[in-house]
Amino acid sequence: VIDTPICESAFTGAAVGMALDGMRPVVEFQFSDFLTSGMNAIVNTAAKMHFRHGLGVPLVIRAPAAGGFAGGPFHSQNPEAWFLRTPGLKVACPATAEDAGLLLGAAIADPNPVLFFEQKSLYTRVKGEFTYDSSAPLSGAAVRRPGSDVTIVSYGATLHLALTAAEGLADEGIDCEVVDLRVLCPLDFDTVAASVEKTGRCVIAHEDYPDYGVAAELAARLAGELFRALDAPVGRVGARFWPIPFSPPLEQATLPTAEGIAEAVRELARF
Amino acid sequence: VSDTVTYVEAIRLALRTALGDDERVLVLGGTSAVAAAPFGRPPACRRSSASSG
Repeated sequence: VIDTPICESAFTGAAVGMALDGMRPVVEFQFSDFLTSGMNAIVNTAAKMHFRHGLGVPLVIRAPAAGGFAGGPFHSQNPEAWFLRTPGLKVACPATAEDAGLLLGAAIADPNPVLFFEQKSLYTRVKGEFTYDSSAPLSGAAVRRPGSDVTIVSYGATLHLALTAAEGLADEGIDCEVVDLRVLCPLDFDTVAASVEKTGRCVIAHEDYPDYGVAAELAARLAGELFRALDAPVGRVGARFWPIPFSPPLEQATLPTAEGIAEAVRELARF
Repeated sequence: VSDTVTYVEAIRLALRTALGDDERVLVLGGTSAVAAAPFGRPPACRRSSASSG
């Protein structure tokens, strides 16, 4: 364990060098918002080293992310989409305690640079079995709730909002299937597609902005590859498109809610 | 290994396991609190250091 000054550009660059020298560094950013300060080492060096020089960079970057605790605009962001369009990076965002252990072990064993997003509101709120298997794949979505009417795709803390919404909607006669992406890159589109082929309707819900991110990508792929299976437009639920406010009521009004997801599902169910 | 743990405890345990299993693994981070947090430093250290983040 190496205790470093708060200088993200320095400790990220050092970690890339350590990885190139045969180590397997696990870097913790205090808040993922400050990944910007390590961006060059991550995006221009670590992600491209294999393609430029044939060298692996087995680096894990732990990135505590997301809001819900009045952290304001610099300590509440969900920056996963910044990295999803960088070839050479893998991106994970576990929603459960089981996956937190399992996917972190898989990330450390992976020969590629991995962004490991830990949504902070999950830290003490969810419990589960601790599982560690360094040979586990760093890929694959999971169906957390089977259903037949509408697919809700989610990940991270919002998965639990989706499950809450699904439980409430069941009382209204709407049977939701909830898919947890778990790993955002590589994306397990097959599991999403299999669910949507069954239900014909899909809402994608995450805490990140629905614009230009995972929801936008999935909506485009569903429209392009499963158009004939869709009975309704693809719905997207996420944070309102402005910086996360300090004010708790404003933050609450900015972030997605279980009721917001439920309303998006009801709208699709009416088609 | 199997036990009921919180999300952050699962991360701590995974780090400990990786550090024990593979001598190539090392952990580095932005503050002493952050680097030590997976190994049992009281949460107050994380909070007090947040203002410097």
